[in-house]
Amino acid sequence: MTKTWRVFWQEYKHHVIRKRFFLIALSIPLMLLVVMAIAILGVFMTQDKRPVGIIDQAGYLKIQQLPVREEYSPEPALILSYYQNEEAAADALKRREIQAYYLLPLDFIETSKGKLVYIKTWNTNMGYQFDRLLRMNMVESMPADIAYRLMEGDEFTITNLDQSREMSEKAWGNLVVPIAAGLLIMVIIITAGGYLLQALVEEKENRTIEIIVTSVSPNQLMIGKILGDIAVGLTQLIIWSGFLIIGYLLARGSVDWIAQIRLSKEYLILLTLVVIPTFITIAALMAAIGSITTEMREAQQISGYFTLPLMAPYWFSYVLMTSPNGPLAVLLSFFPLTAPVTLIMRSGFTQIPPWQLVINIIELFLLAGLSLWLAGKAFRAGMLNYGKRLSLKEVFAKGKAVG
Amino acid sequence: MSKTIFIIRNELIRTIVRPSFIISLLMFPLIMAVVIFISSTQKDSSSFAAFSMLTGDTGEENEGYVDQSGLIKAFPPQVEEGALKSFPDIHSANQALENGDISAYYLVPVNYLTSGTINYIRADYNPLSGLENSTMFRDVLDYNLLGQDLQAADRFWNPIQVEEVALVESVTRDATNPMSYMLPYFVGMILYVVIISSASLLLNSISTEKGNRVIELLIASASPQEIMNGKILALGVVGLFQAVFWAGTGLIVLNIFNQNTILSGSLVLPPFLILWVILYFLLGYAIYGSLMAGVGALAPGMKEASQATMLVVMPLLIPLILSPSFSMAPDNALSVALSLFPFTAPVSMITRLTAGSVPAWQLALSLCLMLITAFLVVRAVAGLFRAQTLLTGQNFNLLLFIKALAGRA
Repeated sequence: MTKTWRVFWQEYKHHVIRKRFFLIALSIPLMLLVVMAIAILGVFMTQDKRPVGIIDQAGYLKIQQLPVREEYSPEPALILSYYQNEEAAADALKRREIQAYYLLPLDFIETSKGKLVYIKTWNTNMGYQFDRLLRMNMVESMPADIAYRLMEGDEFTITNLDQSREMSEKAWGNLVVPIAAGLLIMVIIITAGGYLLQALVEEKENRTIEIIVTSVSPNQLMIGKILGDIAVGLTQLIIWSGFLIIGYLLARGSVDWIAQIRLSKEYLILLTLVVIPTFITIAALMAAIGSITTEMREAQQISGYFTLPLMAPYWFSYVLMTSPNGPLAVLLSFFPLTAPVTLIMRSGFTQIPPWQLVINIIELFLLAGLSLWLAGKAFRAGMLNYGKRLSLKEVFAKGKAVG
Repeated sequence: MSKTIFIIRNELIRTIVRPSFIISLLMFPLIMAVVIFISSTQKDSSSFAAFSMLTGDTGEENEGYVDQSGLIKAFPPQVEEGALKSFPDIHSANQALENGDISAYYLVPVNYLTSGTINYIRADYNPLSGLENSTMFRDVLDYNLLGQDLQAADRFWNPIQVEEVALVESVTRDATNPMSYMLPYFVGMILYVVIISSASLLLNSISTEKGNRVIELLIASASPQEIMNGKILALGVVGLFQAVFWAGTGLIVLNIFNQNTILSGSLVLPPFLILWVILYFLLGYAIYGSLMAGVGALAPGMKEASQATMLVVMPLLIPLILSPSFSMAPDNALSVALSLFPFTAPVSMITRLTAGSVPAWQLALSLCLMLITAFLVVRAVAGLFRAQTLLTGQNFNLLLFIKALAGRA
């Protein structure tokens, strides 16, 4: 036991207590921040904020401007400049004082037909705001409560039959959570597995492993390494979750959809039940590959065969989100390599039937056990094997002979 | 010269027969076709039958409502007969939901006028699958708030029928069609992936051969310049093939779906787009490929090399991040500047070309600038690609790289 512990600690220390680990752990959130900042800046810089001209020949607009917005919005507000005739507006457009102008002709009230003139393009969001202003003028003469309801719209709150789950449509941030959580966890599982793979291949290449097995049994070595790998991944998960929590706390006050995000206890339990076996499976499979291959490039190629299905559900995310209980979603949850992401996504969008959940999670744990067993075999068979990749058949034959 | 040809041939064969190359070549259009197929399928299209096999969705959903406020008296004509059933109370609606007569129901509370809240009760609790129906229910509410006056309701939903006049003719985009934003992004993405993947093939090839010392043997019989030329040309041909293949299959995929729903004539691709893609790929590859070759020559191993590439490819990533704003405003100062600056030009210009028309002088200027840059970079890297640099075990650092490019290492 103490030897397993030692291997574990060595593996953990080797990956975590070094500059590179912290650089990566810190640089990715920072990079995301920079990318977001660039993208937001880009949108800001490309938006046309100039006023829009209007010639109201029909005298339709009793309310002449939209009220000042109380909530913050990234879209620039519509400001109308009134002109007496079209020539004046066209002049202003040519002088680039306005980005476009509307003409409401004399018969606008009867026909609702108008004209919009711009040079080449204009900020189409202004059009939506103008529509809102027209609506405001339309309902102005109606009873105040009806006019208010028409302008403010409704808020739909979705609930399931027994009312155990409930979500307002304004809290759409909750829909982002399952997608982001799945992505975050898979990235961590795969990178941590990649570290393990790399360490194993390196130790094999420089023959360190030959020295280690003189004093540690293969099983102790393998279990120590896999546990170490999981600990590395968890460390990374904790660091990144820390950033997310800080971001959430900072943004909660000002951004509405972030403030509405809630994580239920059931969801966290499900997440744990899915993540643990997946972590073990990937770590064990990486260890198996690391011990049967001889070169890093080759090892990476083989590991692609099972990291690909792990991420594959994202290609079908549209189907998974709109029909989370449809045949494809159920099928992907029953195949253990696509199950983790599928389950994490589906449970955010629907109630998965309990019998399915139970079977899927049992499958995940069975696969984890199977991978551990396979890794043990491969480890014993391939550890001291150089120059040539072992086939699965050889793994079983040799595993028996050595073990 | 014959040695260069020999190296080209060898490099070509080695890259093309690799399974990972063939897989990624075929996977990309396949994934794109699946994604486009799924995101474009609508209920009335012919591909819906195949699509519903995946979703289990029959396309028919009947819903109900319980109106405690007494507001709803009639339906507007867009609500089909029997699509919305009225229930006197929550109990009977729940009963119908449990029996499967309806898939969901809306509860309009007594205080709807002041609160505006609607409870939407769905058996499967899926916020997304009922969206289409809840839009319809919104129309019902508006219609009844407006006193069941169809003319007023029409006016409320479409307050103005606008005739748009653009003083300068340009490609107009349909703002409601998501493809008009997605397509420029896709094309820019393809170019980025192709430039980076062929440049990293080059990096891979150099640093592996450096790692296993094959390059030391090569240098014994060919000059560094010959090796470098051979590798750059060979992998450029591979990348070009990849670009043409992806762009071609991409266009075919889009054309197939064009018949159904996606483009519906609202988005016109410039006829010579493929030509521009090839041109910008060649110049982009010349710049980035040579830079990567330089990294490969300087870095001691694969691990250091792949870290260093992150720094090198950064400029090409920026236009990709900004792609949404390119599609919205392809003529704005930032877009123009990025599409003229040689290091960001390939992806920026192609994204802009897909999003709208680009003035000829800008195309010409950006091509000239890229040509000059490519010439300078290739020359600088060839100078750096000397036996001495290839063989040292020095660690990679940016300062050394810049110094070496300037010929002062």
